[in-house]
Amino acid sequence: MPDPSGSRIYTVSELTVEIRRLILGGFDEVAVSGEISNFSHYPASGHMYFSLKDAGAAIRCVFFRSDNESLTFVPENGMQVVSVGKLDVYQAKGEYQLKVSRLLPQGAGALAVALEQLKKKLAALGLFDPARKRPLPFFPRRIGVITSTEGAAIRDIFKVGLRRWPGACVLVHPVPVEGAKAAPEIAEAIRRMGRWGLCDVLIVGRGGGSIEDLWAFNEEVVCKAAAACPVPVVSAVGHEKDVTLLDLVADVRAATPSNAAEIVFPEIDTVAADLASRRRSLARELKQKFALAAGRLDLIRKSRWWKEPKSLLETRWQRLDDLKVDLARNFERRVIQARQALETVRVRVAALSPTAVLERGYALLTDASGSVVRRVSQVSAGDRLSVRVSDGTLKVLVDSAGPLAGPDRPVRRERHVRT
Amino acid sequence: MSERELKFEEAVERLDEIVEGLESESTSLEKSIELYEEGMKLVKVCEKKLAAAEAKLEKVLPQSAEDRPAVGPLKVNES
Repeated sequence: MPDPSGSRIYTVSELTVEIRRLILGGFDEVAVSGEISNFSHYPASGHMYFSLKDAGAAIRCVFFRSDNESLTFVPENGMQVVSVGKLDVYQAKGEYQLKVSRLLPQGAGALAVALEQLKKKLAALGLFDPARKRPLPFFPRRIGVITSTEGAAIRDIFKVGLRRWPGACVLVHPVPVEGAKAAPEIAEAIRRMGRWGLCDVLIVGRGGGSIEDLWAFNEEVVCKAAAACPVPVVSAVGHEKDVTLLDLVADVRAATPSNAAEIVFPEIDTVAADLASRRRSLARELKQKFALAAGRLDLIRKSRWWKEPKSLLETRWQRLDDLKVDLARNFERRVIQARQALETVRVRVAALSPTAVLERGYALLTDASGSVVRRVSQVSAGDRLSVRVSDGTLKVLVDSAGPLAGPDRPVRRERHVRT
Repeated sequence: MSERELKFEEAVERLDEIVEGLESESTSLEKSIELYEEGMKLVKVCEKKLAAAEAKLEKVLPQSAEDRPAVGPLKVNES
């Protein structure tokens, strides 16, 4: 095909590839501020497409799912934002576009919405829980400061801090405190300082500025890094009125960087006075201890034991002698009692003996079969009976047998005389 | 500052314990004297630390590795 201008003829693809190469090579990462329009979010793919525009121009933006997943607010048309990303060419349509890696809200309205959304999310994660707050060390060995080395914050911290504690050890981790790179670098600095373990408290902050200037301290990465930090974090962002999300996550919120220094750096005069009071109480306690011991010793010296040890012994001798006498007397009495009791028993037993009964004139009758005669009815006239008396036996013949007239019963004692 | 030396905060904590130990009636007199001597030693150490008041201001250098920080002196312009 003839070439009317004498120069090379590209195919569309060739030209597009060439344009893409130029664009990719011509720009590094860019941050573009503008208003969102034509926003669409495809639920199936998760990708977001929108235009960023200002009064004079517009640029297409794509925000792929892998990048927009960490977004902490929902973009809306009309929202002022800063898009950070790389320029690329969508070859199929011949459109250049911004491939967004991070989207930051900008302007009071958009920022307020984003802040509320993130605040809710972090609150749900429990990052603001007061129970998470840790106490600050009373005497930090080394104080970590994460801020810009250029700003007013570091000068304020040093001015106030070194006045309070002229011997302070401070390790500063320089970070940018505004702009697109601020948040990730602050978060990384918090993580590194935590990992290194060189400091036992961290101050994270910056001086005053607009809400956009302070925005890094509202970002999720920074809040999460502070929450995960192994040492307590003191936030020191802007002025008294500025409250960032880091302030809510931090273990202690200082109103300003100077205030942070007042909170973190111990005051040398106070510490010295405290030490002096401890020295005094040491001496006082020991003195009291001595006084107490001396008092006890004195009490012992005044006691009878100490003064008349013999008299105490004598009393004991006397008591022992008394006891000896009592012992003998009581024993003797006991023996006599026992002997008397034995005699009583012996007499009673003797009274019960059958021989004693026969001796008193009673007799025991038995019939021919040897049975003891108790009733008249057991015997008939002409029966032969044996009569046992105290010194022998009589054989007798019954002359007659008849019942007793009158109330008297036969001898009751008979039953005791059974042999 | 040697590694074995107590940190100021630890020393003060130990001092508190010692004062408490002295207060206790069950602490023997011998132990009390021991505690007092240890306490006074700690007070001296703390006072020395207070007196050695020379600020040490450092900053993390960009070449810091993840596991080993590079640290250099920091100069801040007083405004």
